[in-house]
Amino acid sequence: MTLDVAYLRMWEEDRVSAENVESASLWDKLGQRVEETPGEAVLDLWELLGAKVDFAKYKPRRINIYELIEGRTAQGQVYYTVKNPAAGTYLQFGEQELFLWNMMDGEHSVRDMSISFLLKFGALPIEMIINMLATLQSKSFLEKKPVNLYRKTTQTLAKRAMQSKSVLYSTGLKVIGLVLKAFFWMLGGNIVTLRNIDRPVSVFYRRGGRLLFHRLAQYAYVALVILGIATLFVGSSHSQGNAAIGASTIFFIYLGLIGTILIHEAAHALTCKHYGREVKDAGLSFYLLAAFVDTTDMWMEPDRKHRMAVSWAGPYSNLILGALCSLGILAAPWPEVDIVLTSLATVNFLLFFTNLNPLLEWDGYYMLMDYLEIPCLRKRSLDFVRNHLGGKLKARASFNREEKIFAVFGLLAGLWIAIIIVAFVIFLPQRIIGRVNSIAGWVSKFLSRL
Amino acid sequence: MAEISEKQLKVLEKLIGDEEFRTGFFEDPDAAVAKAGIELNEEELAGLKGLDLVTLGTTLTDLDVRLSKSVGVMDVASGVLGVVQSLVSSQTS
Repeated sequence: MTLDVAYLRMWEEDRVSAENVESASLWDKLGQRVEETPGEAVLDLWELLGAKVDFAKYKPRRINIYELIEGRTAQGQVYYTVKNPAAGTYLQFGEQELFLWNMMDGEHSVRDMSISFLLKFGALPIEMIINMLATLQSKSFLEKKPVNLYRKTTQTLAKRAMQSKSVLYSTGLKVIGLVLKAFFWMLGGNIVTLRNIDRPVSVFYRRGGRLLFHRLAQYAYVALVILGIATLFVGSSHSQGNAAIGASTIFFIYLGLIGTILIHEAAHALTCKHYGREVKDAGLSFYLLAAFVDTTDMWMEPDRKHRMAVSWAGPYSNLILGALCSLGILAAPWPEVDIVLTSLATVNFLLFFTNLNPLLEWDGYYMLMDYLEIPCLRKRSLDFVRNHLGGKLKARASFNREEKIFAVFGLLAGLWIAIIIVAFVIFLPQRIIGRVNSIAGWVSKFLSRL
Repeated sequence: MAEISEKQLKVLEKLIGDEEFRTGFFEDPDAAVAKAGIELNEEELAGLKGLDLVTLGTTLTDLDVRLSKSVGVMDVASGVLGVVQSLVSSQTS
């Protein structure tokens, strides 16, 4: 008898018997097990499932409303990206996981999935299913939540966190926390966050924003950049020595900087709309001059060039703005305008290069990640360097393409983090002293006026 | 595995649902099957021994949030302004 016939018959028999089993039995039992053993490593699914739980009869059901796209890497490997529009979560997987995903319809048990998978791929995917279920659950891709396991797990972890917190606080971390809070308050790190900005961005794109992507506009940008950079070598017609950097000059530079970051983020958002994807949230800190825009939905764009274009749009806007300011210097009527434009041109050219640094999670990083077609490049590289690189080097094992990338990128990113930490530690006291001095200056000026 | 007998199917189901049996099976398949009371002929057992269970990797990736961040503008600007200021003062003096 072939497996197909035997399997279908047994499957049918088991479907009848499985209906008598409590639908949530697996998760109930897992929950009980967690409850019974609060001190154990509750996230070890293998350990949990080893407790004679009827895992094979569990019938996972994927969410009803989801978006799934197929993509193909430059190496010809097919992948699938799935999005939960309600939760705003994204996952990527290959053909094997897609096979399992398609069977997660609430009708097929883990046993059914495993045997069908075995028939198709010649391997039993037990561990794969366990890991996949855990990830799908944590990212809200399963319709019927295995509540008990995760609720109990969360509760246990929260309880542990509370216990450890009370110990830590008693050892003085509360004081450190307050100091850090005060420090960030001094830096003015409050960011105004705008939620669900997709609608206004879409309207702006339709009512003219799309013209920025017209072929003629693209030629104009290139011409501007070439002229702007050429202007740098011509020099200014004004002598800056006749000018003084007064309050009005600083005010206009500040306005220019706000404009710079708004245009940088708008460039990302509009390019995201240009490729038909959703722009989620955005934020801006007027004091710290920091901003962000959430373009996570670009994961649903299968063409890596389009994803790279969205990341490139920000630094490119800096390059264009830098060129515009540079050209403006030639026509600047007063030395003060010259200073403002020189400052803004320099800032924009510097921002162009700093944003392209791939070793921090800035635009250059996303471009590199998309070019290499390795999602979560940074996290995976650092993980590889931390946990696997030493072992591989010791064993003198060969590295595949991904591992080579992880090793090089992970080491460079780690080195960069170390440099930043050292620089931060060295310059932090100066920054604090500078801030305190400026505040003290304002206070003394205020008092002297009184 | 193109064809699977009913007995092999029983073993497979036990492998999926019974962790203890699974561990035992990969240590000593003959003993584990005998202990479970399933009688397999040599061909059936050989087919099961060839199963790939351990090496199956996964490509499932939890995708990062993509946040375009404009940070460090203040630092770059203050640095640039400092340079401009020093240039102005040097030209004035």
